[in-house]
This record gives sequence, C-alpha cells and structure tokens, in this order.
Amino acid sequence: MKYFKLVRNSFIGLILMTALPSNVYAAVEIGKDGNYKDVEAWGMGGCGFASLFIKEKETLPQIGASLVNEVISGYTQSSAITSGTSNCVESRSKTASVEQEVFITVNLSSLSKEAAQGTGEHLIALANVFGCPNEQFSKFSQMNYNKIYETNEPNTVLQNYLREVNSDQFMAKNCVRTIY
Amino acid sequence: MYWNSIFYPFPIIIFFFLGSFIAPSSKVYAESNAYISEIITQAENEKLWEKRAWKKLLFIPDRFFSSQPKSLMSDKNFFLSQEGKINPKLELIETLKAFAVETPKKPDENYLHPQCRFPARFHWLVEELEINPNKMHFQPCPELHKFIDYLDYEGVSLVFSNYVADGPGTLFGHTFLRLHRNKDYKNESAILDDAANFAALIPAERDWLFAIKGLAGGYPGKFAVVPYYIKIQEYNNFESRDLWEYKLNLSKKEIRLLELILWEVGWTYIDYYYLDDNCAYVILAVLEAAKPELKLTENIKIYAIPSDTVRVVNRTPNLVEQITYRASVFSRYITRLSVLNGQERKILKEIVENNNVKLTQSIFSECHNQCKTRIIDTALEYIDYKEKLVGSNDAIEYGDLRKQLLISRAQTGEKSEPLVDAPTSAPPNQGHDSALISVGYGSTFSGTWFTDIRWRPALHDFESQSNGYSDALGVGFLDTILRADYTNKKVYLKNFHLLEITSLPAQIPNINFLTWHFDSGYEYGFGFGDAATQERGYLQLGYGLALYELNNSLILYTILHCDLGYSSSTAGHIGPTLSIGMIQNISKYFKFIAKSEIAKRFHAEKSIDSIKYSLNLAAYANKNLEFQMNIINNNAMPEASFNIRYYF
Repeated sequence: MKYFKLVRNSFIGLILMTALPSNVYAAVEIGKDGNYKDVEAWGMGGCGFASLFIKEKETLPQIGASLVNEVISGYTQSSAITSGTSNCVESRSKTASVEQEVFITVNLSSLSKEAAQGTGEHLIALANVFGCPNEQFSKFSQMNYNKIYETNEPNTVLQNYLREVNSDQFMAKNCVRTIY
Repeated sequence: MYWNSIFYPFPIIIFFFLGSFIAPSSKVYAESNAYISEIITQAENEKLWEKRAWKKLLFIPDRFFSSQPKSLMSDKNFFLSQEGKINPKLELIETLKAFAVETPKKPDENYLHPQCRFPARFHWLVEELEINPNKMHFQPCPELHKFIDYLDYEGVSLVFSNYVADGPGTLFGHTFLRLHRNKDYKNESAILDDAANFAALIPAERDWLFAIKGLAGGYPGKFAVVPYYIKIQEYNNFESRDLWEYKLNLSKKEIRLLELILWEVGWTYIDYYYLDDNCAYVILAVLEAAKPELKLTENIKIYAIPSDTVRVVNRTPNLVEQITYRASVFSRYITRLSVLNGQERKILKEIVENNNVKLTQSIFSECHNQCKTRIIDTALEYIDYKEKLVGSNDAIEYGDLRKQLLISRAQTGEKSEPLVDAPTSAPPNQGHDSALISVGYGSTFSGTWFTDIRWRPALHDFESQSNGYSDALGVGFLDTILRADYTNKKVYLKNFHLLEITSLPAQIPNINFLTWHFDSGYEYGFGFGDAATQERGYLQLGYGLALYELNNSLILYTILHCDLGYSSSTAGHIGPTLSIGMIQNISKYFKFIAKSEIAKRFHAEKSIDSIKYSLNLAAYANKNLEFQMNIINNNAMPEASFNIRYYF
C-alpha cells in the first residue's frame, strides 16, 4: 500500500513538475536571503513551541538589522520576527517598541500608501499599536507624511513617528504607547 | 489575565497552574502512583480510548477507505507509547502514566513535563476521569501558561486564499486559520489578529525532485502561529490573491482547547503530502480535535484540495457564521479603476506608461483635487501590484514615481473613499466540487451509437459553471474519456489528458496578461484519412489572445500552438495547431461554446491535416449537476451527443 502510494505520487509528481508552478499549495521557503517569505520561516514552530528555547542569533537582511531572539533572557536588540516565539507572544506583550518596529517593518508598503491616503486598516492597526486615537492618527499621518515617510527604512519611520507624535500637543497627550 | 480566568473553562486547572510551585515530596508521588492505577482501571472500564474526542486529539482522521485508526502525526515524539500512532488505547494508558511521573531533580533546560507538553490531552482526561488534584500533582507549566495567556482568542476563521487572476496553478488554493484576538480591549482590526498556518518546510534550493518529494511526503510539515498581517502581506499583496474568511461557530471552550492543541502540535511535524496530508486536510483535523462532533475529514475521499475543504466546512450545518472577503492588490486596482471616468483613465495610462516624475506633475495640472486623488489611488495599487510590493521592500521599476505620487497624494489632504466591498468573483464555497464524472450518449451521423464515460479527478474547465471559479482559468488533471461503441462492439480510450491548463485572463487596462494553453496526453483520431482511426500521444503549448466583450459575458480567444506528437504510424510529428473559440455566458444557467482547431502535422514522409470543430450548449441544474448537448465534427466524422456531468 505504501509503495503503491509512492509510485502513484511519483508519477503525478513528474506530471506536476512539467507544468505547475511550485506554489500550487503554499509552501514555505527557508532561508533565502532577503526573500520576504522568510517571514514565515522565522515564524516556523510558532509561538510558545520549541522555539521558546531557541537562543540563536539570526541575521535577517529584510529587517535591516541583526535580530536576536532571546526569549528567556530577554532582548538585546529589538525585533520580533525571528524563530517563533518572539513574533508571536513577545511581539505584542514584551515591549511596545519591538512590536512597533516589527509591525512597521512588515507593513511598511501598506502603511506608506494608507498614510498618504489618510485612511486604511493598517493605519488604524498602527494607531492601535501606538495606543493613539484612530481618526486623529490617520489625519496626523497624512499631514506629516513628508516628515515621517521620507525613507523606506522601518526603524527610521518608527523614530520619525515617535518624534512627531511627541512634538504634537494633542497626540503626545492621547497616545499611550509612544515612548520616545 | 483577569479576563482569562473569568472565561477559562478549566477553573480547577488554572487554580493549579497558579498553584504551588513548591516541589512535592516523594510521598505525594508514591500516592499518586497508586491513584494513577486506579484511574487507568477506570479508563479501561469506560473504554475511554473509543471516544471520538480522544482519537481526534491524537489526530486520527476518519479515513474513507479504512477503519484502522492511524494518526496523521509522523513525529514519534507526539506519542508516549511505541505504538501510539496506531493504538489509541495504549497511548491513553501511557499518557496517564506519564502524567504521574516525577519531574527530574535537575531537568534538562528543555525539559517539559508531559502534563505541560500535552495540555489538551491533560485537560480532556482530567475532565473525563474527574481526576482529583489532591491525589495527583498538577504541574505548574510556566511556558505553557505564558503561551495561553498570550493567545486569548475569541474567534476562529478558516481562511482560503483564492486563485491569482493569471495563475491557473493557484486554482487549488491554500487554507489556514485566522485566530481572532479578544476585542474587549482592542479596536476591531483584522490586522492585529494571528494566523495558524500549516505548511511544508521546503529548502530554498529546489532540486528537480522537488515535486516528487512533495507528493511522496519527503518534506516535513509544521505549524506556525504568526501575526495575521504577515499572511495578508503574503497573499493579498505579494501573490495578489483574494482571501475569503469563514468565521466558524466555536464556543469559548472549544477555542481554548484549540489553543492547547496548537501548543501540542507545534512541537511536532507531519510528513507533508501535496495530495492528501496537506495544509487543507490537517486544518480539518485540527478543527475536529477542537470540536469532536464535527465530521470533516470523512468527506475527503482520496485527495484533499483546499477549495474542497472549504466546501466541506460550508456544508456542515451551523458551522460557518459569516463570510468575509479581503481584496488582493489586483482586486483593489480593479475596484479603484472602475470609478474612474474616461479622461481619468487616460491620465492614469499616461502616468504609468511614462513612469516619469516630472511629466506626472505637469499632467496633474489639468486635474482638480478629487480627480487627482482617485487617479493616484488607482496608480498606487497598480504599482504595488506590478512590484509585488510587501514589507519594507523598495519599488524597483516605479520607485521614484511611487514616492512622488505618495507625496502628491498626501498634499491633497483628501481622505480616500473606502473600497467598495464588491468581490470580483463569487466566494469559492459556491463553486462546484473538484472531481467530475460524466456519462454521455450519442450517435455519429453515419449511425453508430456510443456511450462516453469521462472521469476527471480535478478540477475545472471553462465548459463548467464559473461560479466560485474563474471563467478564464482551467486546470484538468488525468482527464479520461472511454467510449463504448455499440455498433462496432468495442470499447476504447478516446481521450486522455494527463494535464491540461488553460489561461484566458481578461485584458485589464495597463496590464497585459498572457493567454496560453498547455495540453499533454493521448487521443484517438488525429487527422484525416488513416489518422482518423489511429491514436497518438501529444504535447502542445500555445500562446494567443483573449477578448472579453458584452460585460465580460462573451469571451473570444485564439491560440496558436506548437504541437508535438507520436503515433505508431507516423512516428514523431510536429506542426502548428490553431485554436479559435468563443464562450458565451447566456445566463446563470446556460453557456454556449463554439471551438475549432485547425492543424497541420509534419512528419518524415508527408503531412497530415486535421480539422475539428464543436458546438456545445451547457445547462446547469445546480452547483454540481450539468447537462451538455454537443455537436462535434472531428476530421469529417460528425457526431451528436448528450452528456450528464456530475461533480463530487
């Protein structure tokens, strides 16, 4: 029975190989430098799984910084998308800044678009991540677009946000998670 | 945490999780050993392992062709007994024994007590056997605790990523779970939810055996819980696939159990078979484990196609609460485009064609604020689609233009109109099932009567109903037609398509999709004269053009193929094949198709001509039942037939 399955599947595999793209069923690619799909590979194992105990350094060019996932002994550098846990448990509960940086990194292309448009669900989610009131935050992002989104570097965008939010009287008062 | 304990369905256990961290004395363990024997006897008396819930926790699916229990899990570490994969009884007894073991004095840093490693089983057994926490030591599980505290979900959706507009290979789709965060203290935002995804771990360096390995279970499949926004970027923006979410009706308690199950399976792997033990099938098994009364896996007969599993879930009474749609970047472009007037479309075309910042600024001078807003919003979706833009990647071809458009867009100070939530296609659960069986009866014009029997395990062609699929895409797999000829008393294989792929995407302004067709297989009768009664194997690939008219209800296509063939009479032959066709959707219930195929096949001695044409009227009774009237003329041998087609 097992051999039958193997032969059958090999046969079909040959056919598939001739024509179908490899993403018929989503598969995860591992470790292609700079391939954005790494994001998933980093999440492999998911939060709270074996990765809870992984303490290895990984360099992820996509993030633009070497990220360390030291779940048990704490972070040495901010970021969350590393092996497992951090992008999950830690990214929302550990420190606001980690969560903010990861969020901006993964969603930057959507955020820059929505900020220019003054509305959108990623922008609202970012308002959440910053603990700001949605409506005002969207308007604020659009008005200060040039100052905040001058670059495509996530960490700079984050710093710009923190700076602008804290120099705006209303925002500084109403955003509860923007530690600058 | 406070919220957690209120809703937590296992108050006793929570109490003990939070309970003493003081290591119990060996006396307690000795007592608990006596107690565990008692418990095991009780479990044996109740035949607890026969309960569906237990089998489901072990990931034993309901196989259609086999009543032997066999877990999906490939990892031995998922089982506490040697025979755990096939022996639920032994596994239950060993599990109970393991729960009573003492924690080592100096545990390895990765040590997890079985109670902490298998919390879903633990909770279930504690409830079923009413295990007394005073007689057995309940372990504190800090890591698990952290995990559970963090999750705190309040809803679960099955998410299906639909096909790409020009990618027939993506018709099969992909499924994963969206885990809705508790919204008590958060605003409603899908973006901040999580996703649980099961996928094969495939090395980036793919060798030529890649597909075979995938089918033969050569890759491990693992679960990952990641922020949902990662999956949104991946499918909506990178691959440009719409996401359909099916919110499932699960109770708080079932969701809690699901969280524990995710923890249990997160440690292990399952050999990933593309055809059956794939993402879709495993997701069904997870749902059954969380809610054992669901009967999902038994609906998957031989192979699991993700879109089929979506239909299985939708057919289950009272399971799907709500269907939502999340537009891909391509769909967003179409939607933004649809509100532009002729003048605005012209401007858009100029902007993206020239891709020139200076020129763009001068173009906008003749455009008021709203017009500018609408055009830029459309152009941005176009650029992001073309660039497959995600994350913090830079746009390559349109980098400067995108920057400029964003700045101009922000300057207008206008808020974008919300996107009309109008999906470009029907939800996938409305599509027909994937396997086709068809029976036809007919006669040639010379008076020969015949019956045709056709079987195709997957998936879709443009003769079928396009509801839930795309008119433009077809994938046929192992499509087999047998003919029984009554007059000449013979049965023979008329057609066999190993793999046939059709892609006739509509031409969208500023996007030029490729129209193409690939076919490989065997046919009986491939030309005039002698060839009309001979068979050949063939391979053809062609490119062409598709035109959509009358609100996309009429499709005209023409494709020029290069055709390679081999038959015993001519040996190898090669030549061009021109296919011309028309597809007219008359209404929801009728479709009319006219096709013709003209070919010349050259081989060593001479050439063979072939002309085929067919008229076909299809009527759709319901989702899975269709009728067809055909008139087919193959190389001057006309015939008429009536077919009943059924999908299952």
